[in-house]
Amino acid sequence: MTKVLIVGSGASGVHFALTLLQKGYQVIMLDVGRERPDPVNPEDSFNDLKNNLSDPVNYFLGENYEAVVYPGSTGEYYGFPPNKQYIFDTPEQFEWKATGFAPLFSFARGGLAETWTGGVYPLNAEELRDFPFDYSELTHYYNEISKRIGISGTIDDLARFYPVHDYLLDPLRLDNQSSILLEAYQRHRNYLNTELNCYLGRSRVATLTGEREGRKACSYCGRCLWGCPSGAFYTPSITLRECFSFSNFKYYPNIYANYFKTNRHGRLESIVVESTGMKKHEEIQADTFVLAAGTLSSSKIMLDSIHRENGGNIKLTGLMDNRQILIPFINLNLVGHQYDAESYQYHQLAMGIVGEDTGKYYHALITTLKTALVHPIVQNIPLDLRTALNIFRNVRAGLGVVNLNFDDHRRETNYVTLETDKNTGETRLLINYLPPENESAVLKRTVKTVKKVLRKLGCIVPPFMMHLRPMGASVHYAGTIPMSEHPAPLTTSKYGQSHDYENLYFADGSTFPALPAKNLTFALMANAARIADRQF
Amino acid sequence: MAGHSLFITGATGFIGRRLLQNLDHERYHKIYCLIRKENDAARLPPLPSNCQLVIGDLNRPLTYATSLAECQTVIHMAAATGKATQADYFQINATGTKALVEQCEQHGVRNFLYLSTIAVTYPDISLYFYAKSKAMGEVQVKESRLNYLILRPTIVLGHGGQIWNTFYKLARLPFLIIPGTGQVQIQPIHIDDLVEHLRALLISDVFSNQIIELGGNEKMSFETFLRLIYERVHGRSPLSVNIPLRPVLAVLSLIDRYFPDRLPFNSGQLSAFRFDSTADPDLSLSSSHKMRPLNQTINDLIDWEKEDESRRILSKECDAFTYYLIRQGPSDFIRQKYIKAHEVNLNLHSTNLGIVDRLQMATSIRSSLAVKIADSYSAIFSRSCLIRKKIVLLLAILESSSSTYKHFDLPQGGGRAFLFGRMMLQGIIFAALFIFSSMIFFPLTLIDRLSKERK
Repeated sequence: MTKVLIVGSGASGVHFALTLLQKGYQVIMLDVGRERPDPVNPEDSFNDLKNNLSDPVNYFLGENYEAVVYPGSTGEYYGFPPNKQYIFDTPEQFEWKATGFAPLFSFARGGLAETWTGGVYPLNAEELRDFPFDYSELTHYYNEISKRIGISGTIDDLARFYPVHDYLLDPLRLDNQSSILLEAYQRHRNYLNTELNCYLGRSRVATLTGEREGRKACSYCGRCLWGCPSGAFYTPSITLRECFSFSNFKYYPNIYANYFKTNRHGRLESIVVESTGMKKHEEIQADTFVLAAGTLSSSKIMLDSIHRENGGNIKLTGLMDNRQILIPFINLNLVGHQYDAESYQYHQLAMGIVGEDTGKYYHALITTLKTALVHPIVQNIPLDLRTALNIFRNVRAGLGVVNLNFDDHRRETNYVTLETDKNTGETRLLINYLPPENESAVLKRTVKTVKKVLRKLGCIVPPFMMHLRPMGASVHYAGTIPMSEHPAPLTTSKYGQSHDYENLYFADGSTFPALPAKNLTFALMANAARIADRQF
Repeated sequence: MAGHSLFITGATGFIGRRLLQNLDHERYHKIYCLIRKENDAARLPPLPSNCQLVIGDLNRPLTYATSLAECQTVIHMAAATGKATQADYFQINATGTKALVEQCEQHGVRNFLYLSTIAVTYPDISLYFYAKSKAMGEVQVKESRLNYLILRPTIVLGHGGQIWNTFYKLARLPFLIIPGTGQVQIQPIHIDDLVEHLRALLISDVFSNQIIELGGNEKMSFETFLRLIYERVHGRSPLSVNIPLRPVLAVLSLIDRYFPDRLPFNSGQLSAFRFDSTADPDLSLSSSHKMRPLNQTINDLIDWEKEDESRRILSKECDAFTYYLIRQGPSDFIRQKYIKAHEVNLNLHSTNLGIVDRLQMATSIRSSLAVKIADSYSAIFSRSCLIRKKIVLLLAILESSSSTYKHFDLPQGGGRAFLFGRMMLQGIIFAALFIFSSMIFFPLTLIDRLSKERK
């Protein structure tokens, strides 16, 4: 039986692995694999934690207060809690430098999707236009992934943008603010649809509304952001645990993958790895190799392999990411109301806007802020902190944020390459990104539309608080080794098979030839399952 | 040593606490600690399982006689020290010691260690009631049938000790004020050295009816000693002023007589500046224990004080900022978390501050209004300034703490119209204070920037 070696345990890697395991393949997975700490007081709600933990400050702010956001802090604020910092711990071997891009990397079990917000948005036929396969080829795998991870949602106005797949669970209980917004949408639906090309509906999220396979239903404990304690909220580490139940699966944690070695026939023979924390190199052999370490890490392994093979230093062009804009708003109907901490915390509503002139789809998630840390918000109100706090608590129930996503396409100006240390020979990843020239006008027009929509829904957008996130912040990286119908170097077949090395496959976002405005995680999982199923 | 039990008085005192922490507990079957009130127990270090508290009074033997009867050795450290009334000195130090000694004799206690003072050796203790009463206590011990040791330490230095606190306060003044000529000789001993000797005496278990005088390993004049502290505190040599003792003593003794308790110290306490406080070599103990150098003692104590002072200031800040934000004081937990955050984030420390930052920090710990004025200015012109960083830190702690998080959750109450009105009013007040604060801080900010540019 063919021995397949997969690098990485993220959303793509685990579904690739599970598909192969189900088909009886011998699968080896190499992973740095930082482990998630056990959830504290799993039965407690968000506010129970504050009351019951002996040191809640330590839990919420971290032992060294690393979650405190001081005024003047530079860098993008992601709001990740201290107990999720393990996800972003990078091994000392991994070095990078970026220009115009603020990347996040993960070497955790489950990868970056351990911190995702659960948005499940299948790419439709129009969005797959630049892909070398038809939409119909993916539908089966949308259903398969939906069955595996558990997706709740409903069929509403947004179905025109999100293809409907099987195994859709009942939607989650809406929180008060989302209900009010949805009611307002129904009242103004005609105007919003026809005048603003805007559609509102329920988010599709990877969260269980009923028990299944040992995972509990969402208990509305309000701890989503702080790490779902019940397993209702899907992360790839859940599928990784499922892989462990197969006897034909071997998982090697604490392994950092460096580069491949080829034989004289140009096939990959082995991968050179080292244990994290140790400098000793080892080689692991396999018949077939699969890179699923995430676009940037997979690209680095590819670049390092080529560099080791012939000393060359090439560029992998076409790096993409979704531009995101955060638009905070206040729902005036909820001023003076008390907010409910015991509710689902991530986005429950989504918005689809069709660009008036471009005809493109722009995607927005509506999160009704509840159990995030509030001091980063309070300090941004241009008032003294006491007044800001008083105003904040009066409007807290009506606060929300629209996360507006824009599409991206492959361009030569955006690339990854290597920089080699002359003394040690060690390499580091260089990332270079330039936004498209006409970006600003598109952003402005779309933001204007969103503001109009919010006003119609009874909300105001406070001045000076909108935030243009840097490229890299959406963590939807793709496009460096694209699928192509033509067997050009540094591309893959439509099944992710490298055109450079016959026994190498790419199962992550690096093969996506385009990046629609949606969260791509669901499509990544489906595509990984597709490649594993069709090609093996 | 099985079955050997110990009875300790004065365990909650400055020396007693440290001794209890360093005692070889496992050597004793039981250790009884006589304390006056139940609340006093809070001042004790964590106690081992064989340690038991006895609530009682030296002068009411029935309150402790039963426990005393089980013991073979007594360490008597309880005393009225510092600023007490004349009656208290004699009641506790002389009469109390007499009562304890009598009880020991009655109940068959064998060994008695009495912690006295070098002050009993001063040539004139007629106005120094503490020394006089301790001398009377010594007589009671010496005249008893008990096997005794009398320990006369010189000046005992240690963090939290009254004597050290007095010296430190004197050294922090801009000028060095030296009572008397400053030429009397002293021989200070660190509390840990004293406790080490006490431990050694208890281990040797030789109670040979002996008086031991115990001092540090350096003798020097009072003035030299104070100068050492001053130089370490200020980083420069002091300008000193000598205060003639005779007229001061005359005035103090009159005040003591007619208006007792009116001054923070009494005439007797000034005796330390009149007479040498050094141990008689003939009465000293030969020991293998190496005393720490006086310089090290002073450095350690000043480091402690600075840390302590910084904690006190942070605690005050925390109180003022919490009240400013939520109109209630912080719990001890919140204070501790606020102080700890300053230990892990050095950017929160007030070093190399400009005029505005210094002024804001100095005034804000005094009143909530001062915090609001400083914060109003910072909200627009100086969003990353120190005071705003500290208040934001506190916000983060308050929103995560059980006693305060609801201040972030609950709206202020009233109908919507009322709330909008209230928020409008709060905005107007902010605007007014912002204008006012700008009139104060903006020119100072300009001055600060200009002076920095010149540098």
